[in-house]
Amino acid sequence: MYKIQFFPREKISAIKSFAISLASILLAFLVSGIIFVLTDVDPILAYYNLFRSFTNLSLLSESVVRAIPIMLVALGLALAYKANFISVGGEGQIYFGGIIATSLVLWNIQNNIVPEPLFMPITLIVVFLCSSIWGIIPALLKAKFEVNEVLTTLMMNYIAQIISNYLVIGPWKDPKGYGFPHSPAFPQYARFPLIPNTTINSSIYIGLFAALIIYFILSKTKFGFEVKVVGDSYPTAKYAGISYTKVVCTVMAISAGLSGLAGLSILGGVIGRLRPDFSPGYGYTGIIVAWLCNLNPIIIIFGSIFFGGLLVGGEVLQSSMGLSVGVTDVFQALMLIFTLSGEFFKRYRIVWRR
Amino acid sequence: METNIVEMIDIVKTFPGVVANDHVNFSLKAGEIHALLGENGAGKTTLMNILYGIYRMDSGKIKVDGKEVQIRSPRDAIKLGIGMVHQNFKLIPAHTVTENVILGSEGNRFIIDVEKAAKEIGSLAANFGLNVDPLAEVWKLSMGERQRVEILKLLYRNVRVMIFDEPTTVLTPQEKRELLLSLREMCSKGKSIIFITHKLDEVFEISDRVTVLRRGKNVATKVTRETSKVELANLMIGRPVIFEYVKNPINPSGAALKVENIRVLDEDGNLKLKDVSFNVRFGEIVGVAGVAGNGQRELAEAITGLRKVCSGKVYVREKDLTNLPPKKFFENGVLFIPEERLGVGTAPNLSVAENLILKTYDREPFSNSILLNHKVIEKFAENLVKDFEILCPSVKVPVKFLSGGNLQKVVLARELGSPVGGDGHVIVAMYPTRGLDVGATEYVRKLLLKMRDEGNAIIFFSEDLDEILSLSDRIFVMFEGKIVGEILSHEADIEKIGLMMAGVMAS
Repeated sequence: MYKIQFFPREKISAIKSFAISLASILLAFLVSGIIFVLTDVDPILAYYNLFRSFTNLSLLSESVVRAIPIMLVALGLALAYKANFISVGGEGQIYFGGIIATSLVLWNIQNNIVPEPLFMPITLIVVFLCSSIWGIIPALLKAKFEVNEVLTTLMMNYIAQIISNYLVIGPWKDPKGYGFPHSPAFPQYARFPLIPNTTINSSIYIGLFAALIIYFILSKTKFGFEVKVVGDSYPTAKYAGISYTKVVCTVMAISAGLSGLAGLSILGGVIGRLRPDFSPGYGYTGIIVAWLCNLNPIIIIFGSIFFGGLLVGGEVLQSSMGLSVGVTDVFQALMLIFTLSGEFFKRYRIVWRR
Repeated sequence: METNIVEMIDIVKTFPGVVANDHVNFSLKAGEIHALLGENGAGKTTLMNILYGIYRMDSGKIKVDGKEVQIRSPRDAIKLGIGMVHQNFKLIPAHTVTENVILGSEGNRFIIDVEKAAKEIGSLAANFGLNVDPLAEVWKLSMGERQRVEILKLLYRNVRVMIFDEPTTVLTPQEKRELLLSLREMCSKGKSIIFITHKLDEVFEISDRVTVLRRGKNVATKVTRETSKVELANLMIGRPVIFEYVKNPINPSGAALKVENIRVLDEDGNLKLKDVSFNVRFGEIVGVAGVAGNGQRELAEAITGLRKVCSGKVYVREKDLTNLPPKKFFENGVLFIPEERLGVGTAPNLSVAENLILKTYDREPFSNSILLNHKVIEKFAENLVKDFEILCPSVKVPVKFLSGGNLQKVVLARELGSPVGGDGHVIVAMYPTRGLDVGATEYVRKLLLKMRDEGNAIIFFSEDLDEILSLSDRIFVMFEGKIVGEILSHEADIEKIGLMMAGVMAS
């Protein structure tokens, strides 16, 4: 009988590491190709359609639009994961940010207090701060009572989404909306202007700026150092006198603040009003992107655009080949599974033993 | 009586960096109780884990009933009639005694006759004087009763050779007496017993023969009634002293650390320090001897701010720091070399440089109010690496790739090379040379002596009595949460310390 044993690797050469990554991606293509074949779809044609967004300028611009909320969520999550705080609360924070943004818009429509040019800057700040408070709740529960953060953040997703959906069909329903479940439209001053000649709205700048800030925090600041110590070894942080509560609360305030802005970017950038279920799971896609990009803020920019492209590609598949959008989900999931498994082989070498 | 039921010949087992068993020979006669005596880390449990199939030996032979056997897993061991009761019980709390006992020995039957099994277990228990209700759920049982369930597991599987790993540590004195009685009972009914311990008393209370291990080697096997506590203590601790250090005369001054009547709980709420008081002066080294688990960890954490005291006071330089956060202790010059170098003393995936500023990253010149100054940090790290002779390819490699000795140097460099607290530090070191090779051990010991001569106060914990005798000016002996002895090193008597450590006598 042979036995498989795993030994931790001390080092791995760049070539080997790249080869493992490449093999993981190819395997993802291969396995989803098998699924295509089993469902009587030509895999080559399917892949061509899935990636058409990267060859066609107008589809590419649409992909970037999708990438903005993914990017904001993934950046925030990457910071939380660096502190080993496994938040899955991006989706709920998107809805919470959307709720806050809509409440500000409706309030200003009624009272007309904030001057139009100042409205967006103030909204950005208020949405960020309110979402931060929402995000600190699970951090405090974890730091003070050791409540598992995966569960609390996941549960809070449902809370936010359900409240948002209630508001849309209840108190915030548009009286002039012919009975459709949505809020009144955001006025022009509450929308992100488009970048000329594209469909991309200017909230992309928030995403890019956030990437630089997160990169800066992690690599240059004292706080970033504390995050790394807490994330790598909690007992060491305690021994060094670093406050766990302070670190995870700050990390989650930033993380949830960014996801809240993601909600604002969807409403103020694309939809223009609050709608039920307005996020197609960007909060969860953000988790995948954060891990696939190795929690690196700069790589996350490109990873988000890639996944934005996949979402658009999925819709192309749907319209041109009549496939369900679920195909993209399957492909995404396979990418994640294979890449994460690849990580394992980067860290361990395998020995066959008799 | 004279036949060897188990023979272990020339057993070698190495772990990365440590030789746990170095050509050990051990034999067990049918019907005897054989004590395996040694300090912590002497290799007792490793040797028995090899016999029980948990570890694979690197080389050596095991014979059972005179025939050479291969033991690859506990299942193999049990087939050969060898079973082990571990220090930490392996029971399922929500299940009954019977269910726990029969678990894994149901064979291929689909339906289990629990009632029949319960009856069998009941009569087994009665037969061997192991008082426990077969239908009770395990979570309701005391530690002593749980241990009896573990023993019943072995008896139910018809084991002939029973290994007990430090079985009395979790027991009350009453339960301990009962256990020793039933061990005699089992012996008289044909079982052979190996009894791992570091307590001299128990050796004499229960065993027929005793094998002493020291630092992975077996130093002697004696018939118990032909030996004495003093002889065994000497064998266990080992003479002569390996390292002789030239020590300058002691020149103490001022109270560096003063502890008054502190009481401290562990995580489970057990009282681990019972009214401990002492002081350490600048310019002296105090060595704390004791078997691990007698409150050393709690004491070290209490005097470095990592653990709250429930009552009592901790003064550093006559300043009351009781229950202040660890950072305050550090700022007042309390430096701590913890037991776990990797995972407490250092963060494994952070670089050497990052680990060297772990406690000073938030002050000038390493950072301003927001930013780290990587250039200054690297320069500082490179200097420390040179001063403390740390072997590493660069200050940017993660510390997890460093050897034990170099890792300990990183911790020492950070603590001793940190610019804090003014003159004279209080250095608290837990097992500073444990697991290090000869060269690194010598380096650490010389460094501690040098720090003492420079006027620092040092309190260190060790299981190595040679180390304590050769470094300390004063020696404390800890036993069950108390300092049971305080001895000046020039009046120290290794036998007496050994006995105090084993709880046999107090000064």
